[in-house]
Amino acid sequence: MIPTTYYLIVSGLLFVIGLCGILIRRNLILILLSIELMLNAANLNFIAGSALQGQLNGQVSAFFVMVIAAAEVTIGLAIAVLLFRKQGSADTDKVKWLKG
Amino acid sequence: MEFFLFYFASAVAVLGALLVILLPRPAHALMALIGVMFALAVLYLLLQAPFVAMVHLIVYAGAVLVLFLFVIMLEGVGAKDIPLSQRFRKSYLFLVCFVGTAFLVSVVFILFHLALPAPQGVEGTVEAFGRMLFRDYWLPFELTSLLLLLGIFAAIALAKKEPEL
Amino acid sequence: MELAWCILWIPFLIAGTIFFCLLSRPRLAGWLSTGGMFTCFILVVSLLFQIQKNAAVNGWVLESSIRWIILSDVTIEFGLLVNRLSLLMLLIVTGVSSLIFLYSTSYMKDEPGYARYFASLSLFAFSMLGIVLANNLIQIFIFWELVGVSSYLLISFWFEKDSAATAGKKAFLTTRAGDVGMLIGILFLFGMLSRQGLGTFNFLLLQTNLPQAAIPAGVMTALGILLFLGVAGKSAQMPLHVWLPDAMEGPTPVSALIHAATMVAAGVFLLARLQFFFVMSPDAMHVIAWTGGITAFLAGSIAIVQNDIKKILAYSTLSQLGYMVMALGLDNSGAGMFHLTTHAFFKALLFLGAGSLIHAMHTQDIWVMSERKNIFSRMPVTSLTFLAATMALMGIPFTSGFFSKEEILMAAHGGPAPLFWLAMITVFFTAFYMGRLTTALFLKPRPVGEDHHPVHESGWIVLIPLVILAIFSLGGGYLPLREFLGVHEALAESGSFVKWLALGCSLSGFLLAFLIYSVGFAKEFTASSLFRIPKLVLERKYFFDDFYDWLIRDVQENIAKGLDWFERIVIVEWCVNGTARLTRGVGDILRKLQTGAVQFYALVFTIGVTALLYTLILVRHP
Repeated sequence: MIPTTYYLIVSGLLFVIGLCGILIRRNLILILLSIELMLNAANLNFIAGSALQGQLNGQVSAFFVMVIAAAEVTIGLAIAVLLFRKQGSADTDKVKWLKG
Repeated sequence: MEFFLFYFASAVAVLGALLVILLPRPAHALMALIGVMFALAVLYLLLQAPFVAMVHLIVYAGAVLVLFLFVIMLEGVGAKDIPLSQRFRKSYLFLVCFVGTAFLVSVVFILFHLALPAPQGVEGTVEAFGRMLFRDYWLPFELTSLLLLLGIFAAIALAKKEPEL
Repeated sequence: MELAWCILWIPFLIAGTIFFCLLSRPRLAGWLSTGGMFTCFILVVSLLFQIQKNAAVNGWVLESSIRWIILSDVTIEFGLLVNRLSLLMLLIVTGVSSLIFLYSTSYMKDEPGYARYFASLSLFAFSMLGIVLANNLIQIFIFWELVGVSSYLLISFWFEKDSAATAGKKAFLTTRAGDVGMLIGILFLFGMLSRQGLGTFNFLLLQTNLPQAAIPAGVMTALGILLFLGVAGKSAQMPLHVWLPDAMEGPTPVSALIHAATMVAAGVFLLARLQFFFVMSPDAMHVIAWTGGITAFLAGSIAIVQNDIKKILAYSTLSQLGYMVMALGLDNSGAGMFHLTTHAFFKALLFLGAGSLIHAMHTQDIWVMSERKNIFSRMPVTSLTFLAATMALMGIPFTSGFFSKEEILMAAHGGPAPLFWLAMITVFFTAFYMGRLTTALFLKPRPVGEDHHPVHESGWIVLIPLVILAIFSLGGGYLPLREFLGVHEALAESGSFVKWLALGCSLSGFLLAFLIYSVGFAKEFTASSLFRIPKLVLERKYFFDDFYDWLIRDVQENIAKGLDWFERIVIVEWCVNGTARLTRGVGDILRKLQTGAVQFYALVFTIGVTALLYTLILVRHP
């Protein structure tokens, strides 16, 4: 058996990579993809936890996370479309309208 | 056998993730993410969650990412390379790498100090999963279906073009 | 005691009535005030008889008071104390005031501010009576200030004139400077006493408490000098004397009442009231005596070169006040109060007579007056009463002034020798300047020719007070004042030496003045360069005014400018505005955090979370 810790490390790694992706990439689509990455890392965490405990609760939680991720992507992409319409590109560096 | 699968799938996942955030063309990054999804499905199978693995593939690789692809193609951003000058936020590139590494180190450190017992087996079959879902989690199930409906409404309201007068 | 309360409040009520109702009915205001003052005088006389009748039972002391402000450790009362000293002052104040009020009704009758004049005069009477009747230090201070206000109102009566307004301010500010010292002294005294639980402001209680309190000698001297500062301000001793000559800008009856007979005597009165306190500090007494003596000498010398009749009389008042203060400094309150009384008579008479002369000749310059003919023959009553007062002032034998001045000189003889000689030389000066004045008015030969502008005598309302005051000036020496005051000091046997020396000085002074100014004796001598410097010093009044001018213009202005700089630049610009600028600067810096870029915020968030994680690690695994 592979120790649960290893699965968790992989999950952590994926999470950090997704986080870095959100923070450094300028294209909105790619930011959304990074968010997906982070969500999946969390899912892996849930499933690993479920295997650890011998309960199915983790898997069910992962299931629901997927559903919500789908809904979120829908709206996120709608916003991306709006942004593209407003300024002609998906560059977030130009989104400074709340600069105070 | 298991070990080999685990390491292979993990490697693919991590490599794919790195590619997602580094590739110049959004469409390519999307493909990398699909690869990550497959690797994750393998990992789920290793963790005795076959149902979830399949659903994962169907939903993500089959629906969500395809949706992404649609939007990329519609807006025309995905087909072209994004030049290096526009790809990253240059002002804090190093800072982010530093913080990310620090974060990772701390997470790994914590994980190694957790004394976790050996994983038990879990029955991840469809019947078991279905039973749990519709017996104990029926309310979230109904609510998330509502949520999906709302998501559809929101997306339509947001992205609708103003009618020509 | 109800009589005493009436005496105090009647003038106040009259002043209020005039101010609120009668400003449009001046003649009524005038008669109401005069009648009120005469009523007060009659009430005082009846009070005197009432006390005399009960003297066997109560002694000569009556007190009645209300507890006014009651705090946990101090009680301030409002009350009246009537003893022989206050009775004497009451008689002088109400008596002389009544005569002057009467005089004013005719003298000021063409003035537009007639009603205002009488309202201010009544207010003054109220304040002065308050000083005389007060039974504690706080109350006397309150009325002290009130008297200052009344004096200010009356000096600046013709406030449209710049010089009058300035003189009023000068008077008020100078006396105020002395009053500050007095207030500090009063409070300090209370503080010293209350340390031993003997704190009080009441005069009678102070008399018993002070000896018990055993205050150290140095502190007593300091207290004495502080209280004397108030006296110096109000009674115009050097160096706070500068306001009195300028106060002549006010109407002449005002000069007679306030600045000759009553208000300036208030300081002397306070010294007498607090005699028991001042004797406990011999050093303070020395200061008082020397201040009095020096004031008398210097003021007398300045009077010699004045050309305005009122200014001559003003400096004369300063000089005589110096005598009174000196007497009290030599622990002879009987002599001092005696001279205060006689001085009230003849100085008021001199001023009222001067008023009559000024009215007739429309000038205040004695040399212009000396050109007018037949003053004596056409204004007999004025001239005779004026001469009577002059004789009393110079101390001609058998006049009231002779007796009171003799007492003071004998007291001085018992004191330090230089002080005695100062006093004696001042007698010479007094005679000299009065001789100069008399010569100018009556004795200087007039040019021969027609009398184109004949002078005429004043009306009977003016003349009656003159006559009454003249009677008292000549005969007042025979009043049983010293016995009345209960003061029996042994007179030194060298009395006759002092008497003859004083007489000699007076006569020689008068004669010298007559010779110089009527005949032109020693003209080359007096016009020579030897005299120029002393003359300049005298004419510039020993440069006191110039000194004060410099003090205020240069010293105080620069201090004020410095403080202004401090307030404007340091406090407002640096502290207040600077704080605002600092806040805005910090805000400007912090505003840069609001980049509007969401990823920046996410970065900051991540950094925070990482830090938190590390904190958790370090807590568990240090």
